[in-house]
Amino acid sequence: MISEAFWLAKKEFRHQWIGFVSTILVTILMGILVSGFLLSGAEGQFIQFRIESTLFNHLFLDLIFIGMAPSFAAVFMSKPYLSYREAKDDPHGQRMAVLRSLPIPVSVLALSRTIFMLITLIILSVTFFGTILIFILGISNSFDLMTTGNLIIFLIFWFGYMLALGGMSPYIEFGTGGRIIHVLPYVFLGLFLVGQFTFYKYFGQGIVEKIIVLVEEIGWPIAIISLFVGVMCTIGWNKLLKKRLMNRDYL
Amino acid sequence: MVSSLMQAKEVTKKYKRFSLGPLDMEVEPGIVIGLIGSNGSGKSTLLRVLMDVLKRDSGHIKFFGQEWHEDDVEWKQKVGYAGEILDAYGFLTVGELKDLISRWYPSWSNEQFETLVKRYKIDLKEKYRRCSKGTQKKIEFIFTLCHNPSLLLLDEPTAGVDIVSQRKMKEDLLNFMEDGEKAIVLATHTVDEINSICDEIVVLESGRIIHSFNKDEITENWARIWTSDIGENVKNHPNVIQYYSNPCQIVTNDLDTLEGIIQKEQITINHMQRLSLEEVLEFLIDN
Repeated sequence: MISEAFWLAKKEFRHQWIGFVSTILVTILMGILVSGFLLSGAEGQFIQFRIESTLFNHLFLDLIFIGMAPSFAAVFMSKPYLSYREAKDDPHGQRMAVLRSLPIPVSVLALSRTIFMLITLIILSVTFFGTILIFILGISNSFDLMTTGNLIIFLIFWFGYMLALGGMSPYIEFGTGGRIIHVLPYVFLGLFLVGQFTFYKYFGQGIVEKIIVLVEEIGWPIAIISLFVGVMCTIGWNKLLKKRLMNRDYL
Repeated sequence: MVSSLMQAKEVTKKYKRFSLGPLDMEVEPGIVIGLIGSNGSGKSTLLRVLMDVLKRDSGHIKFFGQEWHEDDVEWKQKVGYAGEILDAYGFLTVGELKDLISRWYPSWSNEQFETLVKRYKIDLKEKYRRCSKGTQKKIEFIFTLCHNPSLLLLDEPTAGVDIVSQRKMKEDLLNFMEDGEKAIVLATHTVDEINSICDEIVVLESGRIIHSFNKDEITENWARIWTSDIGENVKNHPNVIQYYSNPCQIVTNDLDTLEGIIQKEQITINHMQRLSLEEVLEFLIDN
């Protein structure tokens, strides 16, 4: 089953290579823009966000890690993401209709989508955060925010978070009608803003800043917990997707 | 040996403005069923429900004598389906499409594929989306045949196809049926296809099967009769499909029975003519 799912995921990358390469390039561009903003806003030091905290800084930092990160689970420069008209025709569902008419078990179809999401997420998140790190380290020549060990814990923590939400991506693409792709970001943004402001009101800190503190205080357990939750959520999304694929109309 | 290749019972699929079923259908080996009906009558929907591309709301479907779970694929390996759905992968070349499809059929024959590609003059390097509608139909048709299926579900396979290829497709379908073990369900609007390939005709209207006939029965029983008069008993007879008073003319779906009635009513038969299949189909779909 796994080899069949990998085969399908590989085919999907081959079919979507233009969208995928474009997504990587845009992700690098986003990384450069974000690091430029971080550097100019904090005198070349990432840590400045913790010292001179303003709501805007918190909002921006949280937006990068919480708001943008889940999008790295999808090839967001592909046509359905760029054009509402394209998405409306539910191209993902139509492609799944073809696969569903073939003798492919639903579990293989669902797993192939999860594998595709995982590979996309790993490549894009490494690209994005790698770009930011390279630019910050390259330009400011220092990284005072945390030790290397804590940085790894911090990144694993966010990877766990991205895993937890990233699994939603194939579910949205293949389990719902195409329009949702364009509706959901606004819903997510609304939820994010409500959550962010509430968090700031109660804790006086941004969510990411709080996580940095927790990383320093708790260490590895927080990364392991986050990764565990991420893996569990990915399995859960995969099961939901499988169930949905068994019961949905594709055309 | 399995007695029926496909059996649908009380199958329904509901939409806001259209409902399919409840309908029963059985496909036996050696039989070609022509699925006819006006546009929007539910032919494509029925085939999609059978293939699980659309989820039925209720009812049971058995393939090869067995009701299958959603994750089972054995039955799909023995079914060839052409339902105009490949456009979603229109960005692939025909060769790439073949790679995507053939992987899932253990019995796929590359030799047969190559033979058919040559026979229908298909360019493997052409993107599917760039192919004409007729060529797309031919490609789909080829894909349905290359894994040695036992049952073909074909949705208007010759629509938009050139005359020469239509003839070849007909030949291929007749060859497919040669061993008497296989079956075809053919949704079509083409009388010639029904005439030359089909054994049974199923008429769909508003999602329901309204008639189901053996083709030979149709040509034998349906007739137009010119008479001297039409009595009330004749007008109201269930086998009278249509009548005209000037000149007196009756269309019936049971010539023998109606002849008896007419004689009993002491009406003179001036002339009689069996209906062509095309005329019968018009009556079946229209009325």
